[in-house]
Amino acid sequence: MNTTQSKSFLTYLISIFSLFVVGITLLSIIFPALLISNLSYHSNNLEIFEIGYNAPLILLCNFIIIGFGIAYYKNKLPTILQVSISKILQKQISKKLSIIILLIILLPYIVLTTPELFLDEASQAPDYEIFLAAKEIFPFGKTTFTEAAEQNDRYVRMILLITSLEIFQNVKIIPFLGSIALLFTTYFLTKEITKNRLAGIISLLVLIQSYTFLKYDSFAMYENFWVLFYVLSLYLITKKFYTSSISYSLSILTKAFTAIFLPLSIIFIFYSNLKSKTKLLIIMTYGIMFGGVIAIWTFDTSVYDNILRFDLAQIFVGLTKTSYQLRFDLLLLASLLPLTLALIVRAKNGFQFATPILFLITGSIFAGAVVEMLSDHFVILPYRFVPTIVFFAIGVGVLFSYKKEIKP
Amino acid sequence: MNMINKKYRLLFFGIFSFGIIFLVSETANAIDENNDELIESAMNFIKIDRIDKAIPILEEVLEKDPNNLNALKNLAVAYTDTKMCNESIKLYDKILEIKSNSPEIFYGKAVCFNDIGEPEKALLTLKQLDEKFDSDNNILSTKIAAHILLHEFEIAKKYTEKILENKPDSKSANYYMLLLSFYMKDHVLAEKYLVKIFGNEPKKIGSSCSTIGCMGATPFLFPMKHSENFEITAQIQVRNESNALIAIIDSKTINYTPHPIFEKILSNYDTEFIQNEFGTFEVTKIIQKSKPMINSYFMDRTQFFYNDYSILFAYNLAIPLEPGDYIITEWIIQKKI
Repeated sequence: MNTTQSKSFLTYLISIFSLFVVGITLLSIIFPALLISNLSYHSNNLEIFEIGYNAPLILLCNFIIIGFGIAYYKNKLPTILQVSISKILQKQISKKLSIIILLIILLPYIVLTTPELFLDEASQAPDYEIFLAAKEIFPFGKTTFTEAAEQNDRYVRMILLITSLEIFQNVKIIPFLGSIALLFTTYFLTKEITKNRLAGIISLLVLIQSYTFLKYDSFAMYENFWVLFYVLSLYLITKKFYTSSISYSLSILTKAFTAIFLPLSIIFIFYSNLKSKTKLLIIMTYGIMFGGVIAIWTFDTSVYDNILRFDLAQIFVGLTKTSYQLRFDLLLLASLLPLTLALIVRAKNGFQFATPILFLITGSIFAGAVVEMLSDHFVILPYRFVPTIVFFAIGVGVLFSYKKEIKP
Repeated sequence: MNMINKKYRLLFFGIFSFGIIFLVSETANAIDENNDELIESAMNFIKIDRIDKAIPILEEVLEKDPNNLNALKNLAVAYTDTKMCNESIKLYDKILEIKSNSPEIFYGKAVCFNDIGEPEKALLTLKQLDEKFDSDNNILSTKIAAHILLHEFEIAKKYTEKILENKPDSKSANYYMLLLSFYMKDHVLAEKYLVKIFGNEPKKIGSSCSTIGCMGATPFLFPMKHSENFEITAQIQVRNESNALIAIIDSKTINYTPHPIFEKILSNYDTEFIQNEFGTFEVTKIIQKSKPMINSYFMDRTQFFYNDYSILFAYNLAIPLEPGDYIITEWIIQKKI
């Protein structure tokens, strides 16, 4: 099997996987009780086909967006609309204009978010107590307090939070700077993939409107450093590939959750424009990096090996939880299926990054379900979907790709 | 003439020397008195829990008189109280350089090593003490804390029992036994010490301790998964003000109290008996409807209170809420008979 055939086969597999993940998630929006009632060890008398509160809106939006998308794809829209959309989708903007637009978006965001930095983290998040307990014994002190020990396994996060506290006497400042950096990284990654600045701006807008992103952007306890380092590692694959694994290891040492993202990174590398030897080299550096991280955890007698188990049914429970936890991210819920279908079509039409972006979106959703399957200590939490929202934003941006697609 | 001059010179030098000695000693006394006053004022601040005010005063004394033992000791304790044990340990080392045989300093240093999560060093420090201190309750308590940190619970239990042999009502030893029952997952032991500490009718028991790992405080709620007698499940429905279903989740992480009050409260509810291949069970179902408080992050817990008792606690729910949302929690408690 040559590379093109391998890519086609992988695209096929990833499309099926993605439809499964998105399908289960949407099913749980429409019938919230359906899966849980069937899989739970706790029996109940609920009507399993009771319609969820978000279902009518999400179904309606899905029908409208998919219908509109099909009409556009089949050239069935009125000509004026068809031409206008095509023009927007292929529009390029100058560097100067893109900087002005970025400033127009980011300045109000920063000004409006700054007051949040003066909220008391301790009263906002009970986890702050855990952080303080962990800080007392950071980095290698012993404790019977499992949650504090787990915090201290996240060395990079602890260093950044302690630095924020020590330098600014405010634990929220560096996390907020991290969120701003994430917005920029999302812009640059989308721009790099699509070679279109407008696409970058669209992705930035999609991210910045997200309820989940805005909710946790200035929270120190639910910081975005791990997402930043992970997205940066993807960007570095396209720019300075030899530094990518460093950024990825920083992400894992900020939050071990991103270790599950390794297959996503490998697929991204596989579909990149790099030469085969370079791809192999990057994967080798990733292997070395993983070895290093595991060595550090072993040396520090990490808590992670003590809290593993296996429960396959929790995969479905995890995907169901996704629909609940993203309940206020209506744009994402309403356009997840249409975007999945659009990316499958774009992949079929030869846009090389459509498959890895699709896998990043659905793989990051599935990662939460994997956590549910492997541990009853760790569960999927709303802020852990920030990477999904970033990849979703990039996916929307990808639709604004100017380059003419060539079928493989 | 020379003799007279010599006498005058001697007299002059004598008076001069006396004057110098007097001045030096007076100055030293004045400094000492000033330092004593400063230390006293620092101690007064400590007495009213203003350690933040006491610390700069003691630091000022040590700038002028770096070997002032009184200031060194008090500052080390003040640092310990403000969670600055790394600084305390430096001061304890300095004190031990000046006065090597100071049992209370070894003790303070060991306490600090436990505080910063270095129990091995705490135990090594205590080893330097004379054997006569082996049965001292404070020393035993510090050893218990160190062995708990090292997850050597049996050794910790042995030392705790040693304290209780001499002093059955020792508050700290009873607390340690309860804590050990938590770590050793021994809910029978927990029941004994919960009753001993809280009595048969505990009042206003919060649950934060158990949910955040206890942090050295007293556990009242214990993980259900370690219970040999109970199996508890909780299912939570989240609905909005129009009664539309938002979410339905099972909590995998439930805490309950092994205190006898738990069973007493359950007896107020209807029960049924079921029999299966695992044995006979008494099943109690509790349904509660509540409006959770909207917090800054997401709803992560639900509790069942009975009067002042928090007897059931389910967490890791992680559902974002908006005003108007309410929850229905269904607890099913199965007790093995």
